[in-house]
Amino acid sequence: MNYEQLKNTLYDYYFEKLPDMVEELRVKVFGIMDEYAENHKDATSYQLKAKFYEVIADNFTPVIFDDIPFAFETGALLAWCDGRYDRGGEHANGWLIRRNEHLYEEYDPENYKKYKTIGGLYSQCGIFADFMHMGIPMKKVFSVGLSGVLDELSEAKKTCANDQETDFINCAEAGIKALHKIALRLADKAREKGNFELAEITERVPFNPPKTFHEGLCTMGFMRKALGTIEGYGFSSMGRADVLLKDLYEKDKANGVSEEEMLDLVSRFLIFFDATNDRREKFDGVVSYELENTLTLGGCDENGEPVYNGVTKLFIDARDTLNCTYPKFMCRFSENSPEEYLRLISRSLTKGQSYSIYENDDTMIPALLRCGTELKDARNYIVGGCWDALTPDYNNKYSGECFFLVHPLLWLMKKESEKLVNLGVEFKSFLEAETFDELYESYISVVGQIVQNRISYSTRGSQVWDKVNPACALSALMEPCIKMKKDMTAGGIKYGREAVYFTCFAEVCDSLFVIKKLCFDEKVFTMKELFDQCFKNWENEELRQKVLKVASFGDGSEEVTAFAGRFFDDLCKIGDNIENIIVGKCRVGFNLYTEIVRSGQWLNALPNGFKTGDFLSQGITPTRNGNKDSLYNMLDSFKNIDFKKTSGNASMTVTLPAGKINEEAMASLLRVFARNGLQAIQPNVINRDELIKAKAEPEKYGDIIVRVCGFSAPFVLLPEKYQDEIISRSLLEV
Amino acid sequence: MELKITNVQNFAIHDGPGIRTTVFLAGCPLDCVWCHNPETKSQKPKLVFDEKKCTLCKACLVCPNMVHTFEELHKIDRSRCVMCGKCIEVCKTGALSKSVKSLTLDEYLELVERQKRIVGDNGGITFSGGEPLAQGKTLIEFLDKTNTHKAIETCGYADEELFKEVIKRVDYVMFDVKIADSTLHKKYTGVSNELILKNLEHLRNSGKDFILRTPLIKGITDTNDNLEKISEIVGSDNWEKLEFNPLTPVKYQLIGEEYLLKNN
Repeated sequence: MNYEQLKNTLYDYYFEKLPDMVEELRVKVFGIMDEYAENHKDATSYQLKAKFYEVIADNFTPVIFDDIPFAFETGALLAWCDGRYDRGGEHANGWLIRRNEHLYEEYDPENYKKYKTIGGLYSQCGIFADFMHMGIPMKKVFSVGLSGVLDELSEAKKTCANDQETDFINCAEAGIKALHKIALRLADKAREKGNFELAEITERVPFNPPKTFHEGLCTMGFMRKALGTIEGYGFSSMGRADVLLKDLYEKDKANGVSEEEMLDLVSRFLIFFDATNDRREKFDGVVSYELENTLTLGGCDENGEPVYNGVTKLFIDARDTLNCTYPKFMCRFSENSPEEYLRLISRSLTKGQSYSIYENDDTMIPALLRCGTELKDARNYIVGGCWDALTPDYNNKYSGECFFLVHPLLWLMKKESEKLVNLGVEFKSFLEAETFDELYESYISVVGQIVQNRISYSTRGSQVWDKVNPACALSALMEPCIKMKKDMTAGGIKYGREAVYFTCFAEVCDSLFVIKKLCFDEKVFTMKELFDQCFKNWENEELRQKVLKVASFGDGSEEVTAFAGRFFDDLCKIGDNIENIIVGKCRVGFNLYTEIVRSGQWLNALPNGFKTGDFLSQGITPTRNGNKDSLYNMLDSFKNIDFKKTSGNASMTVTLPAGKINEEAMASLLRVFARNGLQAIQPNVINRDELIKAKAEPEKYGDIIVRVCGFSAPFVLLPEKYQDEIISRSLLEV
Repeated sequence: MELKITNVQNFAIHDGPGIRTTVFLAGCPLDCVWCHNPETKSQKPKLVFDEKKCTLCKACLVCPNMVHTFEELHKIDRSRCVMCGKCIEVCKTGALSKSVKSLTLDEYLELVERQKRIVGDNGGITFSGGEPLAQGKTLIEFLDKTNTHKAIETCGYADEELFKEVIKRVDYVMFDVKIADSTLHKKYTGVSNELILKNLEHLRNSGKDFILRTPLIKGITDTNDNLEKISEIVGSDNWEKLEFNPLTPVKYQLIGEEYLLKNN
């Protein structure tokens, strides 16, 4: 199989033909639905969605490729679109959202305006709810198929107690039938092209549960694309490949299907998704190119037994051979993972190709338990999007805002405290504090108030969610929506949680510590002198050098390590004190996306010596200040930080020197990370000099794959600032 | 009770199984012309100067013996240096340091505790150098204080009874077999290899896990003749050939010495 040729075929389709198809479908569907809505003015959002499902299933253009043994391309989503209605451009699946999104503002106009216009405080994935990071509930599809779901809906219909319940069940039925119709039309297309085997498979699955490895892959890919086509939300995870496909793989093997055949299927499956990222040209920005398809591998099953099998190996082997950065592989591990598994997932990394996030079960499972997840569900978590730990058969995120810790810090330094007045929080500016503790408590109080207000606005506003765009097909696949006869967007699921992701933890921790040491303990500056320098972007380099010599989080020194622990705990308490929607605690996380470069370009200078234009640190990663090359110092810095409190995930970049670390050492290192309670590791193994050369001669270094922030990419295709950010990361000495 | 050391490195992955803390002991009975840790050859401390870290602040002019001068660059006259340490105390950037320091028993136990806490059973402590057996008696006292996984990197040139006593107390040995021919061994390392080969037999009889190692030095140890003869010595034992460390010349510069194999 010529995989390069296959990729080129896909590039041609994705980037030359598809945009017109997507727009054509959008115009057609919008036209039909506008007319329908005009003639059915009293239709509820559920009734309109039910009709929408029908219309889109009737009008999309099925696409079958000659050398791809899967039928799930609907011509309805741009290449890099995960399903979100406006990703990269407008899609047909955005009709209902566009029609109804005014309801968000009308629900609470004053707060809507307030939260929409606070520049930079939040990075939102949706004003009330996260539209982008849905996990696909594969359990029902694999166990009973869509036909089983229709049976369940049919039973539920008999006991609907009111119009709302009837509306939901009818809409869900329409959604599942639409999915089936999409499959049947794709099957017809396959037959038309002479691919009778594919036609037969596509008629069978996912209407019925898959019975072969090939059918399993068809099911996973179909659900990803078809749900994305019809719901208007971004679907970021295809689930746990080596759990879903394990029994099918073993059955096929027993029936004489060869490893090579299955490897070929996996290879073509990966290329189908990887080719949505055009690697023929340098990226112009990064966000649009970041496709949030993910697969989770490894970890443990719901009984706690390690997951590592032939399917794990197939996917890793295919990915490493083909150099695929998509789908993103989220590799779960623990201190007790099998050695062979740890070496396998370390293999590409030690060759300078970093494709995965490495997620520590030893902290994530307890964290999920702590926020109210049942044990077997917690053990079955997937990592979706960049770093979201989800149990998609039972929940998706309600909200997820990245909350910039730096802004309250700056406002309390009295630059724009009118912002705090507008937010309606009680505060005392730093300059009024007589002791550091007073200053610190003031900061924590402000952060707590802002987060509480924002989340409670989101919680209230999410009550209007199902009136905007219910997700009935998705909900029918999640427990216990059908039993409760309630859409996911109306709270019909088992777990539904708010989430707050704190960003710039290290920058703020270090800044507060500098204020403590230099203004209060040692009285080197007054606070006014220090803050004035921040507002002048550190004009006085001599003073800045003093600040840079203060101990900083990550260097292992006792006092700042203790302070970081206190700060971390206080932020987690803010999350713990937020009332959640359905069950359990609010999810607290520490993550940051491409703002590590983008926000750094305009952010005000900070007391820790950060200057406008510098790069920020991702997640819980220490800053680049000071001496951060010692692994043991770095690990000691986390000794007072308990990631069993962060079910929202806490990601950290780790950069290791190329040529010094082999698979065995990397496997040992992963165990050490697990032992020391870290959570999500984003590693790179780099040769800095080589990366600098790669900037100048990209044609020679196309094989270097780096972990950026929540995704990986060929280094040479990244915009220059992202390349510089990676080069500048602290390198651990081996 | 203390050991004379030059350095402690954590996150060592090539110094024994797992992830380790390596303690580099000062002093060595050999004088290998290719030595890649020249600062460890002697237990007598030397002044180490890392020019890259020097900011030309001239604080080191506190020196009572005029070791430091500044014309365009910072120059050091080591013939005048008595290692009083005054310049090291005032150097803010760490450009100046002492090659040899002390490691007390308490400090060693802290290292062991930290290693165990961070890495658990997936590593241990390695004694390297220099030659750890050059401080064999003190080393034995340290080894007896903990039961963490211990490894040693040794050239094998030590009193046989001392060698046996040390080996009894470690879990893993990395043993150098550099040159097979005794005359050539003496030429390039300063000693012949008979004692080393006797200790190799003791090691084989000890029941301990070990690996034999040969550093590949161009034209000296990497010759076909030498490697074939070493292969006969090694037999079926585990054997690793170590690539030359390209940073070696830099280390000589740091202590103001000439690397004799610079054209190698």
